[in-house]
Amino acid sequence: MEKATVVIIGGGATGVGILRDLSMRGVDTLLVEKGDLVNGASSRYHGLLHSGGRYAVKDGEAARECIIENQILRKIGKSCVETTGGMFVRLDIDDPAYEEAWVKGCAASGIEAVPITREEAFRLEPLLTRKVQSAYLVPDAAIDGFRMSWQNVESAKRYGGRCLTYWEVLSIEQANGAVNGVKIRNTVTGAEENIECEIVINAAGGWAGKVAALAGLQVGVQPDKGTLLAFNQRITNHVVNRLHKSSDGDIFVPHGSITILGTSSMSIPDPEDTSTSRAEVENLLAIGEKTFEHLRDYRLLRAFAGSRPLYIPPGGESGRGASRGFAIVDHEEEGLKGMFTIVGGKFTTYRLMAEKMADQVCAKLGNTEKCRTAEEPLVPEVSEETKKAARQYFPAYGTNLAAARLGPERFARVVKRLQDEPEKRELVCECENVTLAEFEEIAQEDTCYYINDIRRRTRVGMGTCQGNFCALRSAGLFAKYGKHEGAAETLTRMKEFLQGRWKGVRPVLLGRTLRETEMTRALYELSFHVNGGKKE
Amino acid sequence: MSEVTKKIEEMEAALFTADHCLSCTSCMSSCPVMEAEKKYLGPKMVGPAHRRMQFSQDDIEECLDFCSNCKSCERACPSGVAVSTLNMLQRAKYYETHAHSHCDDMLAHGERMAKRVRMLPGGPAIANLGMRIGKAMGVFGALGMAGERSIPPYAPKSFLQLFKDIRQPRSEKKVVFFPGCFINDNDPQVGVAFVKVMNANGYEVLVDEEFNCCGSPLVFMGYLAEAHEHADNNVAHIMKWQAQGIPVVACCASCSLMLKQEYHELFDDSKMQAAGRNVYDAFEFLEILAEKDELNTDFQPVEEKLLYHVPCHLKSQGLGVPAARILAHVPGIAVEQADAGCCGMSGNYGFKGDKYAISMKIGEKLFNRIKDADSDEVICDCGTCRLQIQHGTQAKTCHPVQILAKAYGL
Amino acid sequence: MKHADTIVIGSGLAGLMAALVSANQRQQVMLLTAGAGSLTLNSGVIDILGYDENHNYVECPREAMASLPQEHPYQKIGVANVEKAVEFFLDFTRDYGFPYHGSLDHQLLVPTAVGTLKPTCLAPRCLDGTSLHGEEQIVIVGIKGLKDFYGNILQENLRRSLDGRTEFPVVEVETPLQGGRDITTLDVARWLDTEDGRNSLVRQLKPYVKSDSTVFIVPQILGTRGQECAAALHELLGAELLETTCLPPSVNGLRLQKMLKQALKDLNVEIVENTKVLRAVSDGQRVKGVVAKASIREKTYYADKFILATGGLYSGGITVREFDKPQETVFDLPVYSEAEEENWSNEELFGDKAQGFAKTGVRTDSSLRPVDADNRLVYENVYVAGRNLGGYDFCFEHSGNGVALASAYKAAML
Repeated sequence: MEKATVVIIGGGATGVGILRDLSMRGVDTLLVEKGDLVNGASSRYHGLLHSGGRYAVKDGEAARECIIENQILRKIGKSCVETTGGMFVRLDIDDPAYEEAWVKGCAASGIEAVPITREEAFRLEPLLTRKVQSAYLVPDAAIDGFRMSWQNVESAKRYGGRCLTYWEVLSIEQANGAVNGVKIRNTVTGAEENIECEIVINAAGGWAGKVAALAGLQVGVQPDKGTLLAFNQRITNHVVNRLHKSSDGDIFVPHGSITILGTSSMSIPDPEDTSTSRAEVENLLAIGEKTFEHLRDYRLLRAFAGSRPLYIPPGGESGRGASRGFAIVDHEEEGLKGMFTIVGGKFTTYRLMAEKMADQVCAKLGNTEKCRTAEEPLVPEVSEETKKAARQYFPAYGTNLAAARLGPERFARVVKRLQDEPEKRELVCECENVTLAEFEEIAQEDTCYYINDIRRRTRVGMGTCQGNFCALRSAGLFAKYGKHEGAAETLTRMKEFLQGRWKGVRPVLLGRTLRETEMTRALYELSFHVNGGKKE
Repeated sequence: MSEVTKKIEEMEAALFTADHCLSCTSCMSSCPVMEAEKKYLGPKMVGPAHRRMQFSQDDIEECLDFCSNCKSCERACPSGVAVSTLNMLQRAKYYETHAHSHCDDMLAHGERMAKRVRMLPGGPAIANLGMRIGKAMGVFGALGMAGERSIPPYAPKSFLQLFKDIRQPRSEKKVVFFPGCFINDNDPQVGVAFVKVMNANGYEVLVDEEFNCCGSPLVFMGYLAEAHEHADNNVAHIMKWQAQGIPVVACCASCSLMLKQEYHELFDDSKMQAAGRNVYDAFEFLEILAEKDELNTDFQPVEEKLLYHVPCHLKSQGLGVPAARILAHVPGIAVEQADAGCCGMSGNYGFKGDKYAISMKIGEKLFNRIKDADSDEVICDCGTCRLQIQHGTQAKTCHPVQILAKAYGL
Repeated sequence: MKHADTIVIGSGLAGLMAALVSANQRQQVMLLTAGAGSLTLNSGVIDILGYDENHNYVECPREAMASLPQEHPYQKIGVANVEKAVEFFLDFTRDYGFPYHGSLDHQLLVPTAVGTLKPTCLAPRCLDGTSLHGEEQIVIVGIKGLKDFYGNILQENLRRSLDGRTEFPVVEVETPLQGGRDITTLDVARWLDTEDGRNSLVRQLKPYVKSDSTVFIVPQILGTRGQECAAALHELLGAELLETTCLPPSVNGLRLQKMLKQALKDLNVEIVENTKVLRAVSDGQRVKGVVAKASIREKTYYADKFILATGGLYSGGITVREFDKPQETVFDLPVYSEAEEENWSNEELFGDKAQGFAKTGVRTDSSLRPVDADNRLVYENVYVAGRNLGGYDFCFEHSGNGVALASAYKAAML
């Protein structure tokens, strides 16, 4: 039986943050996640590193936390943060009184909001509606939640931390009013295991209520669904926020090669529900085109949704009115020693939440180490020398992106492979510049059960063609390099991958998205007859 | 126009069209450079991809240099992506941080050179002699140009000089002729033929010495800022004529494409779009006359078998082949289209030393077609295509307007 | 001024066929086109009907066509016309030296890039895998550096398709194309257009020819010109080479396109490229001309008859800019659509029922002329062919090129 001092349930930003923090303080910690890392709210959101401007009027405390954490994450997670800067714009239809309150709020929270002229705003953001009345620059940025979470895990591993993906918790074992272990099962293979531990941290986000129930406890979590749209290109250079009372669909985040628009807010019973309806899409477009009038002429890639885990203390408010703050519950007060739940909060402040959680756990364990997560970078930087070598093999726009997503060690291995084995320079994914060398590197990791796991880490299939060309290639290569048995089932893996893309495409099936879909179907259904098996 | 089309039209500046790319490979199938050169990644991997990934690029993709700007990709694209123009925009960006070679400078600035030559008495003859000697000594090759080619000689008198001696009947109906560099300096007889043809149709031809080179070689070589200056100047003069109701007509397909369409695509300026509407390619203009029943069809027989190489930049104008339609009415004439793809010259592309082999490889199909065709002459609306045809086949070439002049007995 | 008897808009299979059949009727034909048409993406084999509405495999397309729903294009075209279109096509391909074969009576089976066998009706010899039974000595041939072909996928699934009777070796062929950009099937096909290429391939494959039942399964690489390359290689190798369908660029689609364009040239069809048709000039129910974009200005082309073959959702003949509002982009014709959210698409991308959105297209009467929701004729001299017809899902049914061919034929003959 495996042992760990602390078991964290949930591989979202909060969970991986705690894993890193505790590991750095020398606590033997294991994280268990039932799917791939950050499959919940931590990747299904804007990818916005808040300056705090968004909360400046309503919640000064949250705003202050954001600006402090914003600066920390820029420092420790350089390759995850794109320092786009943010812009708040007030349109003719927005209340000028709100602008005044907002300016004051920013000043009070220590957020630098620099007023700029309309002309300057249009120069920086040429596609903005000319109905903009006033504009400010703030230190918003884009952040890759998925990458940052993996880097937390990698950092934790250097300190002995462990992480299991595709393992779900079946039960939380307890004796004499204290937890003493968890029983887990591999969701792909069905294998089961018991883990002995002293402390369990429920960091399951939207699923926190369900996990608490495994220990016979109740936690008030309201999954709050947010729907977002991804556009094929960068429509904006900055994070662009509407300067008005927070509402659906009013933030645009340029994120790598794409732009994300969101988000709506809707209470839902089931955190697994990531469906999006046409009405939600229509709503987002209608609001979005107030800021960018040509919005409908840009190609939508997909819609996606995530559920924010809003903590609802007994009698609290849900929906957009609910607090974006977080809560730590020590269940010892309810009679179960060693059990904690951490819930709520936002991605920007995940590190701070993890620090607070780790402080409590360490106090319990008598560990007096200080938190060091704010000082040490998540991963070392990729050397200029390696990048220089890489530039010979990547299209000019590919090197920096590959270096950022792979990190120094993997990147160095990939570049070496590119040098030594010329045939591995081919681009498996031409839209996002994923070489065969990189695909091989990731496919061989034992955390990759599906092509989608590779996709999330390499961006294969996430670009212009949305998998039309790389689905076939990925299936062929995954069969060759994948570690798990199922990798060789090429047709199944290929269809699953395309079905994954389809889920996001379906709600936005119009305009150029529809054209792309027709191409997907013509290639795979018609030309490749993927549904055909035996000779009939 | 339906609402849908209208919206899409508004988004026509080249930069916006990159978003329309579905990555379908149509451009790759049609790209003549890809067929000839395995190092070229191909159209979709440079222009459109660059545009999408520009936020992360630390340089411009080097293989962009292979693009000849023949625009085959744009014509093949099912989604209206201005692939080639996007490539030219990226190329200009490349030269923001990289130095131009001496060869680039010379090829881009033919107009400047010609002006200098013509300032000297006997300048063209001296320059031609110099170029012949230079070629023999391998000077051009050493400069990075295609040493295998002869630099087209300067005509003893430029078109603008010849024009002064042409006596035209006065007419209320006027057009302004935009000769462009090649016709003005190297092949002025095309311009002379154009004047005669217009006179035969009751038009008086004007010229405007304020016009610059259209800028096509500048754009191609990555001198975008200079090209913009040319565009501003030319557009101002085109609009001056527009105000007087006088259209501007060009006899070179690359010039007319640049003036009509590319200025606006490159520089996203609605003024340029408006000016473009006052510019016509020669046979486009003549066909409009024909459609209004105003074309002089008093043709004399021309007993010639002609092979027509339709230049890429005319194909890009979406007109079909107006010259073929008009020449079809000339008795005795037989015009067959070559349909053999791009000639490979693409303006100055084939003059670059490192592109010569590619240029000739692309031209092979056309050369073979011409050799097999047994025609009296090859006609083509583009001066540099004609040079390539002469170089690749020794065939006799001319502009279709010269045939039409013959048909008018001029 | 009249430009032509018939103007065809679009240069996919439907447009090229419509122009060909019209010109063959001694009409003066003009073809207006924007973009290269989808043949460059399309496998270039002619599927007529592979599956019925309930996703039952169709053994005999002729029979199955009769029981399709009323709004289906085949019902409007009529089996007899489909038959004639097939005959016309077979004759044409034979005359132009790249013969297709097959009939409406049964399916041919084409090996695909993923090792399944795809039902189709008409195919050239080099793609026809109907006679594969698993007893022959099959060798899968990959090309070094060709990233669009995976021998291991074929190996796994072809074995399944052929009831696991055979083990197939996968061999990889070297080409001089390596060392540059990533190779496409088109690059290899162009190499095999040359004698050097063919000799090199033969040299590399010869050792694998074990008997006269040896079959090499290759990506779509056997030359860009009809059957010339396939025939030459067969002769040199003494073994059959069979192509699979592949990712674009589609070499076989290009072969077919090239052949059709040659035929149009021979029949003096005037092709105007890079010109997007924007709208009609009409006089009541009669269209007199179409206005097309010619760079910076517009140009009007006049004719007696117009065949609209602008394609569907993919090619932009139909656009859906807003939910519930599909539009036909040239004449703004009434569009048939299952636009409600619950019918628009299925949860499964590749499921066992047709996708609602895919049926979006122009409503027509039985002579393929556009009608409104009450079946009133909109234009008397406009005919619709190919993918912009409403009422069928070409992918689900495996009927795309069949509908294109047959509707083009009928539209041209009327």
